[in-house]
Amino acid sequence: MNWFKYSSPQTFFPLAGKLVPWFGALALVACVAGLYIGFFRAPTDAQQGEAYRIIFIHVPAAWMSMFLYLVMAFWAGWGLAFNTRLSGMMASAIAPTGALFTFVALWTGSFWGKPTWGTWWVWDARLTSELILLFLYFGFMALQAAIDDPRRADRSSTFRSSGGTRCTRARR
Amino acid sequence: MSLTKAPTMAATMLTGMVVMVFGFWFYSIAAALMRARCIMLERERASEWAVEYARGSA
Repeated sequence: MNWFKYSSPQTFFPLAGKLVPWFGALALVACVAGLYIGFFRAPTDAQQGEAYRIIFIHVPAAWMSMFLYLVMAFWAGWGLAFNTRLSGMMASAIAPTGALFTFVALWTGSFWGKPTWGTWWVWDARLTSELILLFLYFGFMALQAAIDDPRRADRSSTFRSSGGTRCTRARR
Repeated sequence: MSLTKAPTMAATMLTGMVVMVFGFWFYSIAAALMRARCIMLERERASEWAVEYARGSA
């Protein structure tokens, strides 16, 4: 099957439209199942009691924030290398979701830190680098918005996202 | 992560997190595809297919 026919917006647009409800439904099922396991099936932690259960949101959100940044940078880089319009659009489409998960990771992390460490925030390597990741997402979106021509905007954002990728790799 | 050593975390905890990761991935794909559709319509608004689509759903 020729997948490359979907590399034009005209053909990808209806395909994307068909896929959205399926992924949405799967997302709902998986999240309900995951939260059920996390809140009703997982045992009480020996040290932290019930407060640890926030990890069922915090950890996946943090993983997503990092992976989505890499996916975003991949699409931006692909678009720059092969001069495809759609790749840049995918990168732009991913950015807000990535930023959302980064924020969720930071916010739920604070809620976890307060009862367990006694503090909402600490400037250690992991937390600070996640905060920097949030700023990188914002920078990507701001740079996109600031440049009127979408192709030029995509190209500029690619360099920002590739630099940020090195930060993400260092975090792991 | 070793498959033969004793688990460092209760298996259910890991399962719960993995299921949530899948859920977040599916959500991310759905959200990104929805947003990509809007971006496509916006950027390609001069193209024939976009004009047709806008006319069709008006």
